[in-house]
Amino acid sequence: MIVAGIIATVLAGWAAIGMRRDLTPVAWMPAWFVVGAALMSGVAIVLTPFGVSLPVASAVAALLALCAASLRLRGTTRSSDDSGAARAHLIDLLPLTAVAPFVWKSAIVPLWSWDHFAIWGVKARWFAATGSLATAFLDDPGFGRSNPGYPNGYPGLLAVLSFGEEIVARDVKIVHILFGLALVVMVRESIRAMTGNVTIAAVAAALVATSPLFWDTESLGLAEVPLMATTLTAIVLSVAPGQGRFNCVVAGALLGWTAWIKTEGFALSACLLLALVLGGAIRSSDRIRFSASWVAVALAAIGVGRTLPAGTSFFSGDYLARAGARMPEFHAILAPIVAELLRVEWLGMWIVSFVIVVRRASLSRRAGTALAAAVAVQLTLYVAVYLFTYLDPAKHIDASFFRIAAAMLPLAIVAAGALLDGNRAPEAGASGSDGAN
Amino acid sequence: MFPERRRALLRRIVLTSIVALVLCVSGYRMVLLAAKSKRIMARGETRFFRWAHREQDIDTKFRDLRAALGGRRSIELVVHVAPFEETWWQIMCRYYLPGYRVVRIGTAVGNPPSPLTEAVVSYDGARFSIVELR
Repeated sequence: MIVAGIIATVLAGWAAIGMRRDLTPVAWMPAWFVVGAALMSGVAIVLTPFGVSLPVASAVAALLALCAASLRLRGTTRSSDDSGAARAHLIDLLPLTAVAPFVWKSAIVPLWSWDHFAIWGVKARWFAATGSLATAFLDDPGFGRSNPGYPNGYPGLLAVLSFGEEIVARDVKIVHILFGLALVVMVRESIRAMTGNVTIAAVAAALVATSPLFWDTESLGLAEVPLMATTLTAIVLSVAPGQGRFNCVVAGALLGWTAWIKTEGFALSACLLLALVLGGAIRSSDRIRFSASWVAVALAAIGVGRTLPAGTSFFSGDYLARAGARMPEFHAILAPIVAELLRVEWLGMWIVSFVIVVRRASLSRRAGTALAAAVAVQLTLYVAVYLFTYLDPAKHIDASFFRIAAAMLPLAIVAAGALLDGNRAPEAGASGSDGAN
Repeated sequence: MFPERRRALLRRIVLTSIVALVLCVSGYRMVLLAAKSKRIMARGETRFFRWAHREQDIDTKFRDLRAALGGRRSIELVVHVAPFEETWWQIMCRYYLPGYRVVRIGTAVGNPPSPLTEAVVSYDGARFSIVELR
């Protein structure tokens, strides 16, 4: 069933954003998948309070996708004018080569990551087994170790794609690989859209594909890759020249959807919202629509999150007193974080990104500078969590920062890549295309 | 040499170096993947894989266990395995037995089987006794 679910997802995405000529054709399918994943999950989530079972909700979402896709098919007129359309280049073979080990490894390595079994996978399988996206089962104290308060966008998506049938390792791997491929393509597209430089875009995408997020299967079955793929797709849809009213709403909603995928998605998307608006990536006429759609979707995630069992928070207890006591030893928190970013596994990517940002950030390169600032703020928030955490900070950093930094790296590379070349203002490149080719 | 030309040359050298690095790393990783013994060697994998993936074919074991459960939905599970780590088994139990009410999971290494045991599934690594709660 997962294949049927993925086909419906792609159709839903196609119906929503179409074959945008301001995107490279190779980016269409990944963008459709990511947008469609949010739409399919959204439909199922909206239907859940009405007592609609998961298989029915999935079928309704798939039918809506089919109807919307057929309507778009009727409205599509084939254009013979390909001038100005984005195209793939020979250099794009580089990210394709770099991502091959990720696909191969994800396919052959067993599903093993602890957080998949404890947090993301267990919820997805319970959604499928109970035939509903209802979260009442999380009230059972036995789920205390499953972080019941975490957003359920990713487990819900797995359950929706499976149409309520049992989710097996193969399904999780297929979805992980698709999001991974989408992430690499979106790194390329976002830099291309912001700079117009295809070479830098392809090299940056290849670097991301060789990063620990892709090589280390600790991320297999976790929400980091879907989170960053969704984030980067939202950025691409925001900065691509042919925005249009409707595409702007889709981009803002997709950015807000990241708050449904991971807890930090809210803070990250808020930072990126500010970066995209203040960085001049969104046309001034579209900023309110873009922001409003983000607010609606992201705040809905916060609202639904409040209905979930609280679970254990890093801010449990007197976190202010803990932070105050740790401040004199702040360097002891910062040192292992900096040391981590300098480790050989990163192939120097954090160092290079940092040097580029320091040397090139300026008001004349607003989009890249704003993105770099968003990454810096998000990393600062993580450092603050380590300051407030009820855990031993050293152990907390040791256990989690590598994974968190791996997820943030694609965004840091996009910011650095955007700063390497000139800034393309959205107004300048706007073709007015609103989807159909 | 003009500064612009020097900058262009420098940029070309940097880009070529990165392309070479990416190709070397990707090629090396493909070789590692072809050699089955070197697949699990990334940072998180070397740290957590052995701890998290301690039972081979655990999905098969739980699938058989589920078949043995029949229609029972509320159970107590006894795992005959040493060393027994409660947290690990609790999580695996919830993951592989979705929709079941596992009231308690414990170990019984060295103890005689409980008279309440209704079904037993045995394996080399672990043996499950299922106790149905009425």
